[in-house]
Amino acid sequence: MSTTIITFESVRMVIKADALLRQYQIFCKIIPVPGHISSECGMCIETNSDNHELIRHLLSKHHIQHNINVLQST
Amino acid sequence: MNRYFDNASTSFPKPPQVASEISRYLTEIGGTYGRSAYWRVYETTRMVEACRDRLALLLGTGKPENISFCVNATAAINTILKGIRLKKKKIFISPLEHNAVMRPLTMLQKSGQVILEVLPAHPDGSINLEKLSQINLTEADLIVINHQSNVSGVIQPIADITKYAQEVPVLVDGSQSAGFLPIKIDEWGIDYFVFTGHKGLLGPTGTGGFFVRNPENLQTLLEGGTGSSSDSFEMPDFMPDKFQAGTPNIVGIIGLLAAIDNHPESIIAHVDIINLKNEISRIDGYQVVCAHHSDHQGTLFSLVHQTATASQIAGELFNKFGIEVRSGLHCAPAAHRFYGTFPEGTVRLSFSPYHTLNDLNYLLSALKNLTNHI
Repeated sequence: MSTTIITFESVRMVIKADALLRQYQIFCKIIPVPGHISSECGMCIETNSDNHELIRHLLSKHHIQHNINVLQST
Repeated sequence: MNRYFDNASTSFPKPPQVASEISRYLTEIGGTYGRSAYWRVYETTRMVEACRDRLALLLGTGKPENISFCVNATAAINTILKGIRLKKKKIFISPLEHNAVMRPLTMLQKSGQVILEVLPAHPDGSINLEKLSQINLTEADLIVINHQSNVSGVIQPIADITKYAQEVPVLVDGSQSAGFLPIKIDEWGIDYFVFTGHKGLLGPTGTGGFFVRNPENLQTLLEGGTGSSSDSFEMPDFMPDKFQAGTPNIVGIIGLLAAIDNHPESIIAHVDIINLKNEISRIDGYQVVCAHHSDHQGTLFSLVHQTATASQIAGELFNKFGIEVRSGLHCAPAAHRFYGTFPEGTVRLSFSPYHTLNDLNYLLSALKNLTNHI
């Protein structure tokens, strides 16, 4: 079981990404950025989608810079 | 009856949604911009970013992230004038700049950082493009142009000026044009565009900002927390965070968003303002300070009287007719010197999309009445 965390350099990018991914029925939950991932902006997106290629494609197509982090549950 | 003709100072009335959305934010939403991840913050952040997007659409740019919010146009102008790298130490200005431009530039001039040169203009203040073509603009770091004069309402030919400017960046001060006139930042090749939220855009005071085409060419004026790159003492170099130090005026920006989304179509047409201006100029005693071609006339103009001072006219208009106008120099001594109306100043009449023909007729009859009794 894994969770995908998508981080962004600015909150504007979070808002844009959230709206975009929801349009494609990709589950999104806004959460504070986990401290061990990065210290970029204060919010990030958690998703249970494992279709990273689609996420990466959609965000890149709309010039939304991002990082995809996969967290494995213990 | 709407007797408020001082919309170039600040607009009134506003769309009713401005007050209701501000109230909804204060009573139901709250939350800061981008500093956390709970609903209040998300909703607030979403609305601030929606405002940025709407502004980009309205101002004609495909780069909303390059729009930064400031407390007003003055702060935006200061950020740009003090943030650009002055290599050639020369700035060209139009003859109609107001003190939001002239005071920071004078400070830079006095400290030896820059030499100012005024661009050639026609008698109504519009830039003389024929003479402009004979000037070597490339020797300057920047060209500053007031889009719509806050004294005469003269609209400058921005698209032509940016063509002549070529590689020299152009700063367009849209304090009196944003919301009143069509603006095409990308199409016209504008490098810096400054706006205020509380005039033509009909938003609350304390809102404004600027567009910057190449943010890497502009240093920050203010540094502080942005909610991003928090591990660093350096300001982020990406937009929009680069120029967004500290919590923004969320209340104001949400009010501005409501204003843009509910901006009314103007009841009066451009021709009604031109007709009013022409009617006033035909009344004995009055002289109108305005554009010489109606195509270059914006949403305001000024007048002077042969015998009465500007402050007398403004006082009488209010005392006898309840009409509110601004008299004096309008923080634009350079423009008044150009028009020969310094130091007395003028009476300025500035209009709103809410004005009706009846309002304009009332103003006209009041001015006719006054000139017979002064």
